[in-house]
Amino acid sequence: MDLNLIVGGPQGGGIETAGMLAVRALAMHGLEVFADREYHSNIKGKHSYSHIRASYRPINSIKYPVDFVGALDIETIATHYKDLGPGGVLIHDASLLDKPLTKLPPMEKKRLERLKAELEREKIGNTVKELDEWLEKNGRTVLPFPFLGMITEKAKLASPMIEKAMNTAMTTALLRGAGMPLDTILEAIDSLFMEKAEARELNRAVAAAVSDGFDEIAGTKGIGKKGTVGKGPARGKRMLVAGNDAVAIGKLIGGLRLQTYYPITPAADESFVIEQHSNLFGPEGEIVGSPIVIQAEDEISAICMAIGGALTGARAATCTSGPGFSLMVEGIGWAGINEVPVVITYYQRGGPSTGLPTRHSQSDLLFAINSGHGEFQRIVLASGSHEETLDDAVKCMDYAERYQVPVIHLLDKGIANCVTTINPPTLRRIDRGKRILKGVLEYRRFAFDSDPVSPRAFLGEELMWYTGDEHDESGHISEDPENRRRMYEKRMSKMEKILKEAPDGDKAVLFGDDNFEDLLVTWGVTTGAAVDALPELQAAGSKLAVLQVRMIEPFPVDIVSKYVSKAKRVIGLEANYIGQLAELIGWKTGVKVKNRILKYTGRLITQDEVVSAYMRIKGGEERVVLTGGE
Amino acid sequence: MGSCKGCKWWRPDYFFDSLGECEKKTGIHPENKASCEMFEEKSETEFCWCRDCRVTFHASERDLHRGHNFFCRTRVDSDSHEYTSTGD
Repeated sequence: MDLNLIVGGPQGGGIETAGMLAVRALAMHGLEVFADREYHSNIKGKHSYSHIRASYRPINSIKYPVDFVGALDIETIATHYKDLGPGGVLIHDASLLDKPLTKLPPMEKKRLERLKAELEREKIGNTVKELDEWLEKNGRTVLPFPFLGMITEKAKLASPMIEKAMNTAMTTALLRGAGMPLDTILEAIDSLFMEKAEARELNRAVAAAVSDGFDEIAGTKGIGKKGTVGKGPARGKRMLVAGNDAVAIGKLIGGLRLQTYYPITPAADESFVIEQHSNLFGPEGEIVGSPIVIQAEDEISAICMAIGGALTGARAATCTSGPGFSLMVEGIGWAGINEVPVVITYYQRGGPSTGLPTRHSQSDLLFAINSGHGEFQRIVLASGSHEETLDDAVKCMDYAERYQVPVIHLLDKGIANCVTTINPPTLRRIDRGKRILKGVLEYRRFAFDSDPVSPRAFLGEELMWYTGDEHDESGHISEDPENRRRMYEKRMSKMEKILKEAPDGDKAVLFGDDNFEDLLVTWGVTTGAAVDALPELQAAGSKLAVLQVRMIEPFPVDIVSKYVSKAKRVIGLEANYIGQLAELIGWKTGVKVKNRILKYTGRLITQDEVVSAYMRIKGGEERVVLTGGE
Repeated sequence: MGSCKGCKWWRPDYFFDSLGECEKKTGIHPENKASCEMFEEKSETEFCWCRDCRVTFHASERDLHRGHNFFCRTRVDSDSHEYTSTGD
């Protein structure tokens, strides 16, 4: 079972809630879920939607074509009708039937022109009704629901609440269409509106009313047979998280004590989640304290405050996306020369400049490893799934303190905003790194030793100096060339230490058999689409494996070389223009990654795109640029 | 008597075409296409709401909206900001 559905409507019209209700219901039904949220940047009325995928097996990507489209407005119908696969179902409000398809004020002009050309080319007509007829003729089913009547007459909702109930009405119709029983939908409503009794009752009444009328409208067309979406197999507990939640949970497990931020998409939610869970509990359930969350006046302050917190001994982190990271660069350099263990969670979005604030991108890989003047060691760890993200959030803080370097946890909008089911995390012992031994007579913060990591004292414990200048072992400014050479080498030699000590699983992970001929190299959320596509491609006879590179800096040359040098064909797969990881692999290993599958539209790379692009590469294309998704 | 579309009391919903609010009644309603006893013809106001373009415009810009459906006001769900994702 592999269910894909889209629910869309005007931004501000409750699409977020509709999507979350569907995700929750599917997860509570025992299914693994992965949902992508696409929305415009803070503009009411613009088209937004959730693409929700559910399966019995774990999934980490979305896939087209879809089985259901639930449209709360005409723009959703016009935008997504062609996403429906054979046998797919479109559900919309019956009141839209006589409306024109091309009178769409929120749609951008060029997009509207493309739509008009499409309707003309396919001879579809110009009204929703005509499109419905065209879809029916082409093997799709259309269910126009009289939602207004259902809400007012059957659910007997007081009129001020009608508008707030349209999304639940649509989600109920979609889920019933997929064969889900009303009980599960009600359970999901109870869970979603747990703390809002009035909203809970309102939405329950609407769901029951739509479900009551469902068979009358859809039954004759054979849609919504009970059990189409069967209950998932028995499994352990699951958590439903967005990437922002996963990082927040990971940081809390990792002992975070100070989080700073300046609000920016798609990073800010992480800080809000940490702030909302400000009580930290010990093993006996006792409150052991709370992390401090500070909204700074800008990103420069955010990184500097986090650095200050780290110097006092607090586990400190900040989070941002591209524009904010650009501002943080000077601070990161300061952390570099002063060997400060600070974590920066970096959510990539479409750039440059403000770019596409709410859209996906993986175009900051080279920036993350090269940002800042001068040379200093840092760790850049890129997570490829939500579960990994949570785990890595803990690891990043351990790495920062173990090696006393700034650590960049490199994520993307896909991870940040997609919602998925994961295994609950386990608590673990954290590693605070090398600390000062009691009774030291003369403390030197940057002591030269065989180990490049010096014992660390927190501010107030010992006497020490910090400056942005080159310094001697105590921290005093020094321009002595011999000291400069030794201090430079002390900092840079952490690279070998990190590569020697970090587990292989943190560096790169191979999916598929070792006897591959073709190798897809990828990173970040795109890993999910590649791994999800693997069984289909292998079943079609391809000797293919996927290599996910996780540690971007220091670069795990040995492991990556081992795999890329034995592949007959190496194919880069990532969401940027030049193929930044592919370029990096070429520089570091000497193996040129000739083939590239790339996407830079701001939309996720999907499982079906990986399949078709790989076949095109096999067919002789060198570079495939993907364009799917709205 | 006219229907909602030409009435000064009708405030179409910002998000859902078929819904709106009548200032003479309580709450949200579907747009009434039949004649209504409370109907009062809408007159030109300094600012109008164009449903076709989803913008508020000044009377001086009226020519830009010739042939469009415009109203004296629009209705926006007061909770809609909660459903609107930020993007800065």
